[in-house]
Amino acid sequence: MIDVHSHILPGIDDGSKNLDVTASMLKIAQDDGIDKIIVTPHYVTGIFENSYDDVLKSLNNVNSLIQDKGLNIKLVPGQEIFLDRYTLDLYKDGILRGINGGSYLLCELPMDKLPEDAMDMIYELHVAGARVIIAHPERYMYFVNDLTLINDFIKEECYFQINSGSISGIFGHEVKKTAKLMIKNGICDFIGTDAHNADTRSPKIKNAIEKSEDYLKGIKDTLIKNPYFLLNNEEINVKCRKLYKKSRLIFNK
Amino acid sequence: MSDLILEKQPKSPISEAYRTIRTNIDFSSIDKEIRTILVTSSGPGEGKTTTAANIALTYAQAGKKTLLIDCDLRKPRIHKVFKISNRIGFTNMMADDMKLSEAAFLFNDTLQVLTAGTIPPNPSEMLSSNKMKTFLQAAAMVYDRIIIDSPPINVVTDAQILGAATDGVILVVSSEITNIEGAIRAKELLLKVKANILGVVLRRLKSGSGKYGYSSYYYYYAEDGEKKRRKKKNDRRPQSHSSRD
Repeated sequence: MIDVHSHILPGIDDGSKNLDVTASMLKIAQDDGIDKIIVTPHYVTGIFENSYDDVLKSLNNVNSLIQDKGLNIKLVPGQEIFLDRYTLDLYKDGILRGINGGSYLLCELPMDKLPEDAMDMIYELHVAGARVIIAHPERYMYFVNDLTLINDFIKEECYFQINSGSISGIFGHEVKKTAKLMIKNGICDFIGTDAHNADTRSPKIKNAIEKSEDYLKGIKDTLIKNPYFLLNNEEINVKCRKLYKKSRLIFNK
Repeated sequence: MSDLILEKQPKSPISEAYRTIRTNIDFSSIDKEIRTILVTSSGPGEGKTTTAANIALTYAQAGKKTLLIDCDLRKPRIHKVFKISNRIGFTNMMADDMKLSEAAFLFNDTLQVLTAGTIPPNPSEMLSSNKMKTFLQAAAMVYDRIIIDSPPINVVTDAQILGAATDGVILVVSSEITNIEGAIRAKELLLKVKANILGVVLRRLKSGSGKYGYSSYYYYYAEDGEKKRRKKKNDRRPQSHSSRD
């Protein structure tokens, strides 16, 4: 399995603190059946400004650690980009690049409020040739409160990555419920661990993928295959996606 | 570019209907050439942008040097129809003294598209400014046709301002969407500013309800049109009615 969202690189953002933590995270990941990790350190203007080249450097250090420990995990470069008005220029300048140098960008939005110009920013990225994956939408307050807001993102042909932790419930009941609703409607193309450490937010994915199959039959296969398309920069099929409609039945939630 | 039927299916009956609109506009005025054309409607979602884009394309395909401007500065959509960037456009040209050649997108040899640009806090003021008047006059010297997309006229005043500043106005109405009172009010608002209403474009007409059943015959006349006759399902077929007041 491939983990598409991970803060496993040490000392570069709010993820792994040092090489020791990274080493135990790698071990957990391998035991869980993960053989490739797309490393996605934060890029947040003014806070964590990790360029793609910075990620490559840090990744090389961890690669030697993997060799020393004799682990069987491959790391792939990526970034988790906090979407703002600078994003497009940074992408054009090559400071931000797609996963594995391709066109898929893992983008996060503010937790509390949907920016008014979010759709415009995504549209411009798409025109510039990028493909936007929305990171953990199930955790954003506005989607939790009203999931119909996500339909604009579906129409704009975004992809969606749900956190394994959201499915298991570490972000609370409401987030778990939203994740379930999204999967049921096929609004989920990837599951990532969004691992930050080796204990509370650890790199485990297997249970979440199994669980999502309970919500939507056949999605397990898609969730396992999609990351390979991502790595090869190939088009990802979203044919099972449905626009989210509010259920009229109160007890059917 | 699903809305650009003239690009995708130039031989379809829908495209032919757009060409008829072009002919009707050109013949609607004998003494004065209609160079600047505003497209508006009474309410939202009636097909202004699609109509404006396709009329611009018919002129461009006829070899006229055409400029399409998105003056819907509240909910711009032209850039989405053409799948082009809207980072710079009309408002940047007005506010930042940018040249038209820098702000406009060259769609092909004859068609240039000026998207709306950054949404300004004061669209009406921008559209009624002297700079706007000067710009339209200057552009009319350079281009054969200038097609302008605008917000719905019954909602905001922008289209009225533009209607007064252009040579002619096309009112778009949609079957089963536009209400009659709304359309009458739109006409009154245009006449109030002495806009020259060229006519009405009726969209989304269900086939069979009209008396012109030419949609299935058109392929018969098309020189190398698709062999397969299409069923009458072109419910988005626009029809042109010359209704000069």
